[in-house]
Amino acid sequence: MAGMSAARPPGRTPRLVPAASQMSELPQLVVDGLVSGAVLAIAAVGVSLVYGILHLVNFAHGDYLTFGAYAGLGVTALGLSLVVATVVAIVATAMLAVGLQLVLWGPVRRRRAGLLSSFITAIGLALVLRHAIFLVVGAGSRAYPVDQFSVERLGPVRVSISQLIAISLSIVAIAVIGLLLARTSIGRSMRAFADNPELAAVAGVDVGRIVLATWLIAGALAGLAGELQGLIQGAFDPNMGWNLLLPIFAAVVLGTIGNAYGALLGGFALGLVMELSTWSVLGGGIPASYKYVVAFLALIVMLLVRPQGLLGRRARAL
Amino acid sequence: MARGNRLVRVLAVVSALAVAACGGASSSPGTAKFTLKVGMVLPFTGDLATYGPSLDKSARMAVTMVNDALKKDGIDVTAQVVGSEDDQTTPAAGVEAATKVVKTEGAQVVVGSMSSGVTLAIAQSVAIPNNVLLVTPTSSDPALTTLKGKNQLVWRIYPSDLLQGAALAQAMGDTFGKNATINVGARNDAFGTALAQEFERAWRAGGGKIGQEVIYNTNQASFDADALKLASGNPTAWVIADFPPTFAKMGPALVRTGQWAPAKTLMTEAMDNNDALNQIGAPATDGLRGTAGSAPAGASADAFEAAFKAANPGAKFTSFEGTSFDAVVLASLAAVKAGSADPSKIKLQMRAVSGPSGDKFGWQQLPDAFKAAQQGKSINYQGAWGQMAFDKNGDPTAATYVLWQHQAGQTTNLKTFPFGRPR
Repeated sequence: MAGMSAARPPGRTPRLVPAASQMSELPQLVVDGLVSGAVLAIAAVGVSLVYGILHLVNFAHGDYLTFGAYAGLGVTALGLSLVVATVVAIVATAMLAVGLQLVLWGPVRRRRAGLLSSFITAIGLALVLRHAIFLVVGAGSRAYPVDQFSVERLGPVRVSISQLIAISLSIVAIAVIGLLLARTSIGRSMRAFADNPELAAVAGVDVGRIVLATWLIAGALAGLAGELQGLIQGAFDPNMGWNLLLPIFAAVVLGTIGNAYGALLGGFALGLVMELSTWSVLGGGIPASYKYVVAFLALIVMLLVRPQGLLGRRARAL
Repeated sequence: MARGNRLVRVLAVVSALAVAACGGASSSPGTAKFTLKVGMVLPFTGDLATYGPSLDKSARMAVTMVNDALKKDGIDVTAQVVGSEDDQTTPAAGVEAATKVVKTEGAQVVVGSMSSGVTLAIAQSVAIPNNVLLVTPTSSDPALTTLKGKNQLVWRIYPSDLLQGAALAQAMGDTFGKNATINVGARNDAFGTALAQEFERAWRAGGGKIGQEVIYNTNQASFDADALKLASGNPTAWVIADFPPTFAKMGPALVRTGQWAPAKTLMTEAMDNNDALNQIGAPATDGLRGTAGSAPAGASADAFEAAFKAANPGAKFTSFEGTSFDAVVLASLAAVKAGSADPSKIKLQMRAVSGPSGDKFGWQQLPDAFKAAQQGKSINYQGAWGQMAFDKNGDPTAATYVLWQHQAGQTTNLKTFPFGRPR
């Protein structure tokens, strides 16, 4: 083996035209980016909806994801299938989100807590949730009973079973969210409320119902995203959702804060930027440890050029 | 140095005689009475939770054996465990834990921690400012050697990566040939980057080539892009510096690239854990090899394992227990030789009890060793982990390594090889 590998030219010469081997990397990186982007997108929609309608920056959203991942794991531990686990993860996390609205966010709102105090409350909730999960499941890492090693070859691309599941479920979820927001009356009311709460209330939109529906959707999506992240990551521990929080927020900002469609777009864009940053065409490849740096640099540049986000309207001068 | 020691010894004997002649009591080694307070800061949760509890048990076993030996010798010194705190394998929690052990529980000697990042944080924020002796059982980061202002307060039992990187390069050369092209992967922390750097230096010095170097973040959502890069370029073999919980994510991602083989990969001691490797799964671990710092193989090592298991029925033996055991014994020997529990006196005796000068005493001969220490003699302690022969930076200069391999669900040692440099 030694000595058989092609000799490398002394000192890497920068190449403007990608070599064949570099081109063959591209589809793989794109697919990997779409998979991580899908999870970010689904989670970001929830954060964006909650912000748009409740004006709450839910710092605990990452831990909703973790909750969903462990709810699903608990079901598979009972020997039930991944389908049942997915349903339970979605339902349990939606229930958690609605429950927390009833016992925490509702009262906090009634006492007219400001944006900052709600934000701090959310940080506190994040810590409580995460450590409650630590207490129950322990610190060790766990995995779903899915083969992490085998891959399907789709042309030049290798996709794991987990990634296939994640992609298909994401497509379904995104289609459902899209239909829900665009076609159903509750979806239309939610968007109306996010655009102009006073006008929506005057027009007879039931605010209490909108709030509960928002949490129900955000929670369900968080549960699904948590399980999918657990799947594609292979092994996960109770810090999983927390570690994902920053990219999720970035996706929300990237796609215009409060805009659900924008959050979807932002999630995919961020996932793609992160994975593609390691492509060897870019100056011989940026070191993989700078993935997040590249992603957030892209975010900053984007916001300098388009401060309103990908789908935002330019602020109107009064 | 030897001449200096002799002078100190002569002075000690003269002053001891003078004190004896006057009939007065003082803090000379022979008559000192004190309690040495030992505290543990170890990972009971987090990435290294597999090891922390076992190292805590063996440190406590060492305290018991030290006290038995002191009692047998009639030396009026006691070692006392003031507490064991969890550093969660993170620097922040480690500093909190060490602060508790030192400030609340009053430890004079801290045994901890395992991960280099945690040990560096504890040393800088707690041990050095509070003038407490810190003996780390397993931290291998070269940064500990050159830590600013450490003032002889920081010691380690497990050898530095400066030694391990070279040992890994030697094992790699023996296995794949000295001129092979190696891809290097490492977790992005003090341990991973230092090991990668030291391996690469030793490998290039021996005439080998480095292909890809991939330093990856441990908390990221996906490892696929990193794995693709690490697997690329058709190298002869790989070196990967990682811990089991992260490799549980990186390993499958590497397998999925279809261009990587565990049988062509060398890793380090943190992966030498049969349960963890089996949990990660055969496709990512079958045929995997690696170096590990090791106790010298043979009768002494077998006896230590048996003693640990007898003292801790049902506890898991991870093979690293000797490190925390020797940490406690060396600090206690130095304290008895110094005749004081004051860390600023203990630290001056650490080298003198670690060999290579002085009479040899094994870990099973603690009563004789403490008698010699009480008489102010230099001691060549032959620990459960091995011979230390500390240099002036607090690093062991001698160590034993094994080349292990994981095959068909079993981790076995292929060979044991000593590695050392002049003190």
